[in-house]
Amino acid sequence: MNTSWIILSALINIFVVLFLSPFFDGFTRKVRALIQSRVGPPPLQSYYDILKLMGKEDLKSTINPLFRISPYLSVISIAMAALLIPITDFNPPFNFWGDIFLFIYIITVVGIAIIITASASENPFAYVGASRKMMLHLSVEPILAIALITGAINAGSFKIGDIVTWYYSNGPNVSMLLATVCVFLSLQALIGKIPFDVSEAEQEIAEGVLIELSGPKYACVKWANMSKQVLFCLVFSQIFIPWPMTENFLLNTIIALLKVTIIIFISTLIEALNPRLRIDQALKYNLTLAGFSITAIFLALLGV
Amino acid sequence: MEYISYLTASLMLLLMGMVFTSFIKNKSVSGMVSLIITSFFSGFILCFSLKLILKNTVLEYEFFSLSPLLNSSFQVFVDSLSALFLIIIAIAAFCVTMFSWKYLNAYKIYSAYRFYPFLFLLFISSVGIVIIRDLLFFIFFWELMTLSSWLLVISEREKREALKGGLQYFIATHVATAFLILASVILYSYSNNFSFIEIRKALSILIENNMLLFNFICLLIFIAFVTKAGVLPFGFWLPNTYPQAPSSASSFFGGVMSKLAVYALFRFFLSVIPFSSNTQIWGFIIATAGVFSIFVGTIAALTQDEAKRLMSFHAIGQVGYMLLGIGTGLYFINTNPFLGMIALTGGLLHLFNNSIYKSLLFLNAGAIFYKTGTTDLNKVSGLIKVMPLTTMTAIVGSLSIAGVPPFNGFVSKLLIFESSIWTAKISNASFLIKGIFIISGIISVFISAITLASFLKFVNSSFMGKLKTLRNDKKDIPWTMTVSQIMLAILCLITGLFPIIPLELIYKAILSVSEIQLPAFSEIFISNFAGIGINFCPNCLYGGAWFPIFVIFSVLIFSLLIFAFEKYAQAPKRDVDTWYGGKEHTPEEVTYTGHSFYQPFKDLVSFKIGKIKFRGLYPSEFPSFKVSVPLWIKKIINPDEWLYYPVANKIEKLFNLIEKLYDRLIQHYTFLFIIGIVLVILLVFYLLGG
Repeated sequence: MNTSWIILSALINIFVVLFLSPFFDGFTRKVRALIQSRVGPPPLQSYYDILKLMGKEDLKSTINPLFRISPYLSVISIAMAALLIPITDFNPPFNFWGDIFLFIYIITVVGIAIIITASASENPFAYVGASRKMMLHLSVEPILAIALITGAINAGSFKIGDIVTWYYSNGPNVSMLLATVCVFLSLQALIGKIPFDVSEAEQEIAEGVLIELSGPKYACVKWANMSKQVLFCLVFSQIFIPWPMTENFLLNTIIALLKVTIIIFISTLIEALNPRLRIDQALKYNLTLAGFSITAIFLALLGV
Repeated sequence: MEYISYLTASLMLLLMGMVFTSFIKNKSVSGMVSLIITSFFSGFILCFSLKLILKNTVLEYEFFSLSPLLNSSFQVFVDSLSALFLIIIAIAAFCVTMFSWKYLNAYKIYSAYRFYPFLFLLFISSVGIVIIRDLLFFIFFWELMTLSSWLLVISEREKREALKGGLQYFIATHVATAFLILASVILYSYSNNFSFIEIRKALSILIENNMLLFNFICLLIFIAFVTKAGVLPFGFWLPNTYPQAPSSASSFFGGVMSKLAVYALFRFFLSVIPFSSNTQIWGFIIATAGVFSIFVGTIAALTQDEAKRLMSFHAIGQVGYMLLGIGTGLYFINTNPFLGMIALTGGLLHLFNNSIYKSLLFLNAGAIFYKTGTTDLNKVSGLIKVMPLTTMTAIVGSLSIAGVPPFNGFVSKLLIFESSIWTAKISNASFLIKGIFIISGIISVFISAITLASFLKFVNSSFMGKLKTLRNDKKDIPWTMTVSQIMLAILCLITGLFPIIPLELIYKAILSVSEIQLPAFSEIFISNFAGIGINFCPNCLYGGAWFPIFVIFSVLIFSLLIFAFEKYAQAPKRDVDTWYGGKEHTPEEVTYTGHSFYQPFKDLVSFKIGKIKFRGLYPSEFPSFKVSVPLWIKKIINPDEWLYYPVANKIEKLFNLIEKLYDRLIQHYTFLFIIGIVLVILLVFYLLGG
């Protein structure tokens, strides 16, 4: 664990989560187009979108300074969360005695940034979107928390690195499998894609939280959303399916990317084949799942 | 000896303030006098308590004794725990007084001597509770605190709700005090002395001889303090009472007064009541009560539309976190001191942090009231345009209470979560107990998301959005109000960035109280220049450290990066109107009010049992129930009916008759007069002739 390794692995994490995310988004768009019998945009289209938006006119609907700052905060907090995910090794670049909770809080900050942007924009549609986003977040957060706590009870440590190491060496047990299934079932809600994209529903509330954004700010929030997809797919693939893991950090990264591609493919299939849920349906789904996932904790307490 | 002079000087100052402000009618003069006095008081107390903690000494002093009459004396005892609370009181008192100076102008019909003397009395009684080591005087100060805060609650006595809330408060807290007095009388009959030391001795004898009575005393003490702390279901009065006082007083209630009840609980269960197997049971009960009030209180807060009422419900929820930490600590401190200490430290650290951000949030609500004349979240919006600094402090307070890193709520919540979940690894606890503690941990994680949601609602609906009409159109609020908020916000940030400072103070405080062997600070907390790490067991591996300061650095670097990108892209900027989907609306037509936030979630937690409506798991509407009393009881308890009115009616009739005699014409009078004179003359003649 020396400094150069930490820096290298942090750079790889940020590269994968932030700078490869438009590529994965392009991949998603291509897959969706193929399902719907279209040709679809080229794979690098999302990079072009972001670069183009950076130079577009920045419309300000308010003098509120928070409206200017908080879109950037969303990208920053995604980058911070990326540093807590193990990609190159069992251990992420940064870890301490409570990083599962830190991770949960940092992804909360992503939500806070977007909610504050939305409400600072003064648009009623954005308010509706913000309210829905917060509800979705508070219903889906317990599932992830319970799954990580199950891992923590099994591994006897609150560090993501230790949980992954334990899971890798001791193999799946009933409680961890249950937690994995629960996280998989809540993956769409964590990412915020159909059927859970209620806060940005185009047809109902005209992109909700994003309605007043334009130019660089829109680029940032769009980028944050793309990166969020990669981040949560990485959480699922690296923490809850840690196999296979090798000694070589480059090989590990490539394996992680492959796993993420598969998961994004599955998630896109779900997205393309399902309708959007209403917010009350989404809430009930998530809270039921959260209640169900508490079983995993009791199983972990029993040691199975 | 110099310590006691500090203490007496500060108490004298407060007394002086109380006397002075009782005679000054002018609000601003009175405010200035009390600000000066309180700043001296805060300075003295801060100096005194920091010195005491750093030198690791204890102040013991006996002012006077009631010895021939009762075995009780005014015994001052200040250890590190008391000093910690003195620090909290000093900070809150200073900010509250500074805020009140200009704030009271927001109330039209309100004279200064309805407010400041009682505020000083509240300060005195708070200090008294913390420094005393004698049950009788403890109860005296406790009652004084209740009384002065009650007077502050009903100080706006033209309002009906204030009187109603005040009445609820008065009854609830006095029932609680009655419990405390009962406990003290029972204890006195065994110990024959009111000093905490003698009571402890009596209790340790009682444990061996009469377990039932011992537990009964514990129950009495528990209920007495928990009612004051506002833990549900005993704290039903709190949301109706706190919002009624002026915001600066509510700030002291929420920031300090309800924490003093937790102090009393902590003091009694850790140092007055001796350790035994019962400590575990009471720890478990305290933790469960805490979780219940975390869950119900905070979800109920989500459904509130009135800023101060929302915060009052959060006061209930936050006290729950502290009790969860303290209860877990009491449960495990004997069997597993590492875990127990982490939980106790977490609970007390949360208390310390809470007193800062809770005061701040109530002051924010006060600033909103000052500007708009209401704290209803449906009626205010867009205040960031007139008070940007207040908005920033409100956001800091909201993120702190939600426990978002790097603000101060994070570390304390982390300690509470982890200690309650770590119970899974304790081998000698039963499965059910472990399960309950872990579920408590998960509930508190879930509830911190709800806390965030309800405070985002507060920030979004009051500060964001279109600006509505204001009461006075001055640009910003007075500087004293802003400064007191900023001071608290900065404290939130500092204690969040350097959690090691409060942690060490608190650890010393716990060590000074407890009499059993506990691990040293360096065994549990690994500290270096800006970070902390913890060990859950003696031989655990060192698990890395939490460096909040690095979070700030990376945030700065990333912001620079992105701002540079924005500058490089050179996107043109233009001001536009809000887009309402192509239609033209006035902002009033389409405002998204505070009430509309989280409506589907509110529906999910609102239901009806029988005739009682529950909003957010909390009974909001009771059916107006009538007690049917037999008719004869009603008759008996109403002596007006059968005694007063009949007699009075008879007498009235008699007087009416007499009055009728005079109700004649003047001729009748003269006629009667002449007849009378003739009769008198005849009588005189008869007598003379006789």
